[in-house]
Amino acid sequence: MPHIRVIDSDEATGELAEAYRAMAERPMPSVYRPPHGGAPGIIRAHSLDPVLLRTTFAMSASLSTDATLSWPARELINAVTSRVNQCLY
Amino acid sequence: MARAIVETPDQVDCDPVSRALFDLSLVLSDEPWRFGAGELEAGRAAGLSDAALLHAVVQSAYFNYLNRVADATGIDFDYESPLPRIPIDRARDPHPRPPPAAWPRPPAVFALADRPQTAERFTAWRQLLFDRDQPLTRRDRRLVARAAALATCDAAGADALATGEPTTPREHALVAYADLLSRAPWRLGAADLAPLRAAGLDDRALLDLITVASFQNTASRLTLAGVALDEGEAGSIA
Repeated sequence: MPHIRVIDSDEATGELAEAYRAMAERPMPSVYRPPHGGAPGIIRAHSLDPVLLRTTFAMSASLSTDATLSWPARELINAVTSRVNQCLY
Repeated sequence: MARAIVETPDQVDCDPVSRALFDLSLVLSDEPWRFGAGELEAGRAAGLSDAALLHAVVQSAYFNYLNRVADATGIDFDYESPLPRIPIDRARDPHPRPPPAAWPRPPAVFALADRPQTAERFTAWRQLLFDRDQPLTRRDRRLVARAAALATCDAAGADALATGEPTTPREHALVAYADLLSRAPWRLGAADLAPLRAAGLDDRALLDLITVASFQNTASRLTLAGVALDEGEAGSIA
C-alpha cells in the first residue's frame, strides 16, 4: 500500500485523466506497460500533482528518444542504478 | 547480464562498453563524490563518445530520482519481469561521507545544453519544483534541496541553495527526511512520514517534499559528474 495517496487511472478525472492519457499514448516498449492496464506505479506516485507528473516524465522522454545510447545500454544503466540503490523499481 | 546485475553485481562479466557504463552508474549512484576523470576516461577508452557519456550520466542521475520517489511513496512494483527481485538489505549502512573540506567542486566537462531538449525539460522541471509557494514554501524547498545536496557531498549545490539553517521542529523534520531519502532510500517507510504529518503536512505537501529532495539527488549527481546545468555556468568545459 502506498505511503501517500495515489489516484488510480480509473478514478482520475480532469487534468490527471488527461495526463494519464498522454502518458499512455507515448511510444514505449511493451515491458513498460504493467499488466493491470493502468498507469505504472511510478507515474501514479505523482498523481496528486498532474502538472508535476507531466513535467517529470517529459524529462524521461528526452532521454529515450535519441540514439546516443541504445535501449539495452540505458536499461543496463537503470538496472545498475536500481541495484545500487536497493530499489525494486 | 541483467540477472547477474541482480544476483551477483560484483561478478558481472561483460564487454568493455557495458563495463564502463556499469562502473559509471555504480559510482555516480553509490558514491557520487568519488566520480571523476577515471570513470570518463574508462568510457572513452571503451569507445564511448562524450555525447554517449553525457547521456549515460543524465540517465543514471535521473534514475536516482525515480528510485527515491518509488521508495518514498511506497508504490508497488507493477511491471512484469523475468528477473528475480533485487534482494534488499534494509540494515545496510550508507557509505560514510568524506569531511566537507574534501568535497569535490569539479569543473564542467559537459554542458547539459548539448542535449537541448533534455536541458529545456530539466530547467522546466526545476522551475516547477522550486518556483512556487504551495504547499511547501520556497524556503522549505531550498532547505530540503540543500539537505539533499549536503548528503550527496555537493558543495557547489549546497552553496547555491543556502537559505539559513532550519529553525522550527517542522523544518528540522523536513531536513531529516531529505537527508534519509538521500543517504539510505532503501530504509524509507510510511513511519518516516509520521513526524511530517504530525507537523501538518498533507499528502500533497509530502509529494512536494519527496520530489524536491529526489530532484536534488539528480541535480547534485549531474554537478558532481561535471555537467554544467545552465548555459554560461562557471567552469571550464574541456
